[in-house]
Amino acid sequence: MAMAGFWVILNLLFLVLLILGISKIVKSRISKKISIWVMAIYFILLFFSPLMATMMQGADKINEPVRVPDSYFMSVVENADTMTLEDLVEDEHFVLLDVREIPVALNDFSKDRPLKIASRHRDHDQFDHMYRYQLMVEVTDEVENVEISQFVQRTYTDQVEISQELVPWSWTMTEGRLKPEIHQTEIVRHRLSPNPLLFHFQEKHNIIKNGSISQEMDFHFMIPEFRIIQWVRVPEDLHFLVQGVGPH
Amino acid sequence: MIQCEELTKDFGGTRALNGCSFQIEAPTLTGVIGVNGAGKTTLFKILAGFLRPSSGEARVLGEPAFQNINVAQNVVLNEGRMTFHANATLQELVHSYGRFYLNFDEKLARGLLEYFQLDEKRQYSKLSKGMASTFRLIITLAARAPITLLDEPANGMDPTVRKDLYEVILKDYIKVPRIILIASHYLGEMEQILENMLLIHGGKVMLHSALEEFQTFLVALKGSPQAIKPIEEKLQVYEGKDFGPGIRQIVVKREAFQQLQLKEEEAGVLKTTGISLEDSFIYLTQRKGGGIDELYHS
Amino acid sequence: MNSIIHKETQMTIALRQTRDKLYHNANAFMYLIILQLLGYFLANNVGMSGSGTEYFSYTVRIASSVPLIFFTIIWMLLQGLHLAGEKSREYYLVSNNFTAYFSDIAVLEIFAVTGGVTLLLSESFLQVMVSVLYENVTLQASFSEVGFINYVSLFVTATLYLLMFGAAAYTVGILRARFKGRFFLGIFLLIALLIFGSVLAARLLGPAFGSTIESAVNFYLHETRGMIWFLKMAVTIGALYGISYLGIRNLEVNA
Repeated sequence: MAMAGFWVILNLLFLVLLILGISKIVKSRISKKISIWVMAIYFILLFFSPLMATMMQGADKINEPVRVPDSYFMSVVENADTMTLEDLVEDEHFVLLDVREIPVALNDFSKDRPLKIASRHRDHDQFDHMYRYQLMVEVTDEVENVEISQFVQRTYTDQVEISQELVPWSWTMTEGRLKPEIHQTEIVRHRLSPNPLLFHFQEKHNIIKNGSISQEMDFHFMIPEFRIIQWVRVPEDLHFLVQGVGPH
Repeated sequence: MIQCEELTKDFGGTRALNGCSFQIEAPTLTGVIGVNGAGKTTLFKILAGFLRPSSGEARVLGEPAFQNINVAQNVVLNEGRMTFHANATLQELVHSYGRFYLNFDEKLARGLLEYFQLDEKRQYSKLSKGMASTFRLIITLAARAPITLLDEPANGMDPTVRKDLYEVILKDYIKVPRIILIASHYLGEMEQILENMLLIHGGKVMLHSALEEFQTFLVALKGSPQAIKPIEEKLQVYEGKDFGPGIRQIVVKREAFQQLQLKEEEAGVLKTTGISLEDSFIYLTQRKGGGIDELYHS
Repeated sequence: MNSIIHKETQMTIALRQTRDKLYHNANAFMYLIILQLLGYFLANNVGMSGSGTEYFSYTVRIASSVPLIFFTIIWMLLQGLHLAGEKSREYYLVSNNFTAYFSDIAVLEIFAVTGGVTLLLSESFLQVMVSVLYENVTLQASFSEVGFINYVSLFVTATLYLLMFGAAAYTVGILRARFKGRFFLGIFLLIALLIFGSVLAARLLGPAFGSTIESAVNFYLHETRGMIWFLKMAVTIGALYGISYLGIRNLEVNA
């Protein structure tokens, strides 16, 4: 508590010195003509800012809640047999994150020693519930190596879509086993909060709550659940086996 | 135009002016003299409307001076402690004065700035003491206000600049006659240009007269102690000095001496000489008793 | 040619003084800009919220113009003190206490309106700034409720708050110039009186009557009724100006 107080005082002191220092420099070094010119430029920028703000792409995006049907993912999975990769690519509820090719030597694998494709990403993932992913394997003569297309169902948090920002998983081949690796996804958003004086006379938005000034934080954040489809295309001649990682 | 009647000003327990009375009507170039602390600056500030009299009256242009806007726009004060806006350049100050003093002669101001080699674009706060004094004088003279009060305008100036300064004041006064009061300690230099003198001592006006009258106010009488002694007993002596055995000199008021109406043989043994303005000032304002000699020989 | 005697009205001179002061204090606008830029810099990150797991972290950085309000208020306080300080300076030009006071108030009002305009436009300017600096910028949901009346509310409240702070600082400066050494004694006594009075009021009348700085702030900020708020501001600003006028009236100039 004392340390916190100390830092507050130090910061305040720094701020006071900074403000006084600026005052001294402005008074003694900057001529009035320059001040007037800078002021004119500043005001021109300010007056044009409403126009600039409306013109800037994405700047006027106001969050609107988006509803995604909860059962959509399961319905896709259930109908996987009748779907093609192109169907999934065109599905507006899914985003194609990544397509990568895993080179395989067909001769390295046989019926007795098939390529194992993991359906879980590792043994002990306590956060496994976050990543519900469905592995779909398509055998095709259109590819010579293993091709994996990663899809994620459009995911929202805090009423903002973050699907495109999910870092695609990588796949590694170790001792004949192809397994995914999840990478950390860090998402940073910037949100502009309105000036509290805009709502000075509106009870609902009044900035004083319980006697203390506080910023109105009206967003509700929950860790989202990513619903991922890994569409794996394997060559016709490749012997493979889909399995979990270790015993369930 | 200026009328002071029993003007008194107290600052806490200190009395700066003590029943000061005088009147100035016509344009004049008057020297205001007095020892340090006599009340010259206080008088000027009262006339400029800065200070309120504790008692008595100070009227300028027929109106009470204190915080009077009619007085303020017709009086310009120049004093050593006056300040201007921080970071204001000389050019900006010239413009400011030009806005407020409607008689302001900008051409004159610029010309004088050039003559005294003051860069218009320089900030006032960055001037040396002497240059600042010169600048203040330039703008107060160029303001050509009907009443111009110059309090120690020559402070910090070298003799060459001071000489020019007096010439500028005189020339400007001749061109635009007005009331100009100058408070200065450089009496010997000032008397070249002055018309009148106002001597303030102990917060009161001791003497207010034309310069010539002031210069002849006192007279030095030299003669034998026997001749001098009767006069010493009758008149107020401002200074008495012995110049060896048989010669004594005293300084007395000329008018008082003339009123004695000495006989020709009595007057004939005395030699009368004039007193310089500075010496007159010293004799009139000197402290009674306790001189420097006593300090060093006690 | 003798020197001409002029007799212009006090108001004429007061208006001329206002213009002169605005010119000589032009650097105040530069100072405002610098402080507001500092405010914009701090506005980009007034708050943060987020959560995460081993594989996912989500952070929301809140940008808000509240620091701008704070710095603009500081600017106004400093201008109020500056105009009240070194009062002797302007009397060497044509001035008396009335014209000095009038022009000071006029300049403060111009400063307040300037501050109000910059704060009004800071919303969109901040939006532009944040959008240029970062991707994925969104606006808080309450922005959808902002209309013309809200912007009028912002401008009027910002301007009057700035005017109030400027008037308060000016009053403090004038009282300091008037009373000099006794001023600090007066401040000490006032603080002691407020604290003691507040404690006494709370003891005798109940906790609701005990005032704190917070409740003093709430008195204005928590007022949602427009006319009542305006009345409060008018009375406060009027009282401050009244006190400062009483302080400057008959003030002697003695540097």
